[in-house]
Amino acid sequence: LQTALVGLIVHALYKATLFLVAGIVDHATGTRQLDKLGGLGRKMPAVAIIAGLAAVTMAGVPPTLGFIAKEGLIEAALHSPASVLVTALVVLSSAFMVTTAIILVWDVFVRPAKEQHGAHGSHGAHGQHVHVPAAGMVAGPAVLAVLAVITGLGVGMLITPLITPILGAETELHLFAGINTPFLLSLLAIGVGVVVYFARQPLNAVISVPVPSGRQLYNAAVGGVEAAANFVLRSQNGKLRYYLVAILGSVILLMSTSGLAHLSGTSISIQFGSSADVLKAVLLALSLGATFASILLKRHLIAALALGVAGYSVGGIFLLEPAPDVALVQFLVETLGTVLVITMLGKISLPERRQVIEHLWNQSRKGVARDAIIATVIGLGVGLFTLSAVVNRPSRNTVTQWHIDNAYEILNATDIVATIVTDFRGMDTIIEITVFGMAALGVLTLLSTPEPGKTWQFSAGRMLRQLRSRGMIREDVGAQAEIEAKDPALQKEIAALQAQTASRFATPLTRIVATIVLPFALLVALAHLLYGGGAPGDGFTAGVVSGLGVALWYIVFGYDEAKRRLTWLRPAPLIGIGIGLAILNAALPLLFGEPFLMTTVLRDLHLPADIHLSSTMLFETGIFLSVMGGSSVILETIAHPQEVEGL
Amino acid sequence: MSVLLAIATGVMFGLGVFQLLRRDLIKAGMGFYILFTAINLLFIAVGAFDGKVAAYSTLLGSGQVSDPLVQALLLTAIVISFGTYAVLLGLISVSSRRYQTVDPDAVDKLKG
Repeated sequence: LQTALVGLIVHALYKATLFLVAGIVDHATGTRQLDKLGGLGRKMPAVAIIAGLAAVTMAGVPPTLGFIAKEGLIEAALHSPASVLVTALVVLSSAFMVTTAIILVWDVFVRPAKEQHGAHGSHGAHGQHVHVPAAGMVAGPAVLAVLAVITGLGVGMLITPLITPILGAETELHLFAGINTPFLLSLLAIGVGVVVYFARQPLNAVISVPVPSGRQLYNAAVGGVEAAANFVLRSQNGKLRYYLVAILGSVILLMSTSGLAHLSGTSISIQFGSSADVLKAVLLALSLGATFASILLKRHLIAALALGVAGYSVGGIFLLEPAPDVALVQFLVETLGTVLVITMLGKISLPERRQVIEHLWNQSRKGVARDAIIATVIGLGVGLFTLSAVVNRPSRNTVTQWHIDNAYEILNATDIVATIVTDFRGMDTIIEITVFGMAALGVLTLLSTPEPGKTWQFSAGRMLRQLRSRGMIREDVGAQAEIEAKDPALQKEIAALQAQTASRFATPLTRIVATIVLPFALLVALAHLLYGGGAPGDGFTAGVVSGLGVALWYIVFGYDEAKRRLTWLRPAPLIGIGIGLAILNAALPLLFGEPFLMTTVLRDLHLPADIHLSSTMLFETGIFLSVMGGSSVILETIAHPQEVEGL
Repeated sequence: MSVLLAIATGVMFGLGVFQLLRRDLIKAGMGFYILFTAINLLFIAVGAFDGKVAAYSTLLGSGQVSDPLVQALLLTAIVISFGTYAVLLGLISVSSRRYQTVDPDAVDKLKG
């Protein structure tokens, strides 16, 4: 296991480095074909050195962590049941790793570039167009490559503390454990690798030798794989839906068998303990009904609203659980989600939607029945799985009990759920907001790289440029505002385009409401932050609340005006600031010798209005900022008026 | 009660899968959302306690509190699923913008 962990770290280090290097090479030269590359070392010395370091790690040459991992692997192989065979395989595979590493470094970076054959004229961009990558691109792999070497040299200091907590036992890792069998085998592997590299050309040349060369074996293996793949491919018709069925189906199959085993012999009874339970059952029925309705409903908009109803009903169930924090988040997220769907629907033109609706309703009965059967089977599987989980759960969960008992004593906060989120499982939360922020940035990158020529661009300057490039106006029409203003046709066009994006909800009343609501939303957010430890609501709800305030602006004022009036809101950096703040808060205790994520409670600070301060506040603020930034980014990009064609 | 929730989870999941299989990216996106809701129900179903009061330290004396650990996990799940949903919606928008259709099969045909 120790070896496996070290191996994992090594792979992470060198693979990430090499992928990044490959990306840089691809970016710089426009090709990834080995035959076309060469001599890049002179043009990109930094990248060459990085690739060299990573390759050395991969090859397992002594001073790196790769060497240690390989040593461990050989050691483990020697002790395994079929030791001779396994060891031979390990040595052989490391030898091939060495070969690959040499090929990589030598052919791409050191060997002078091959002559162009002329045929690659259109694509073979190497030589001429190689542009040196930006420092930022190189920095990432550089850090990783250096890490690979450093961790090798200082393995006792750096890696051992990392994996010791996982293994739960003392571990020993040495860079050089003396001249023993693994060491010798390791050297052998490197030697064989080098030999294979130099013998590569003759091997390639003399394919006709009766002894199957590595290449022939390889080809045979590839042929076999291809044949198998062709067989598999026959079941692949490129329809997303069937892939989903296959994946879900197999998972359910695996799960439900074990689920059935657990279920047998236990009695299942449904008990209604209190009136709250009856209410819960009603809400459950409501949410299921609304979900079912969203399937039957023809129009997307109504279906989305039905889903919203289902979500709110689930929120109601949470409230009755009673889980007020969760219910609050569920209500808010449901609202934001519904707003998002509706905004998105507005961006998809009516003909497109009509087309799929027609397809859907003209679908053959057989198809519907097939899907229904699949869905039923999967639903049954999941139901059984859940049932077995519910029936077999321990009635007294010690982990939970510990949290309940200690929340107040340790953290001076009364909301146990909040303490779990921000402290006991704070790491999860940091990762969670990171994921959320990444999702937001993902949406941003997805939607902000439109196809050229398919985008309406709304700033007057861009508009002018676009018109000019289309030859609709003369080249000499300047970008100056005066000339724009004088061109009535252009002005009219711009006005028409802007009118399309202007909202139809912009009545005086809604405008005033939206203007008032945003500051109030921010105020509510502040309250959530301050009282997060003792009442429902925390940084996340604060973020979503203010996100909703922003959403209202986009809906009421339309994209252009909202953007103009919210210039102070720069959501994308907010994500980074928020996550940074959260990590900073988690890391600060390290300076004082306390563990990561330690919460400092300021008990003796007597503040007005029953506010309890602790370092959690900083964390909450981080969550708030990143979530608000994230939801604003998502809204902004989805609301961005590109290809507005009317609802 | 949690038995009922477990059954509902199954039903909800089935509905989600059915919706997911529609030949319509928008409906499929909604299907994902239904799946998320089903998972949320699952979390509530497997909570260890049959709670009577909310999980606050001040209320500990007044009855069995609901299971806070499950709720904390649920909070995380909701946030992540919202993020995922947003990305899905973004993808649907891209499909509409780039291929002028939200029919997944039609996108296939365009690719050739």
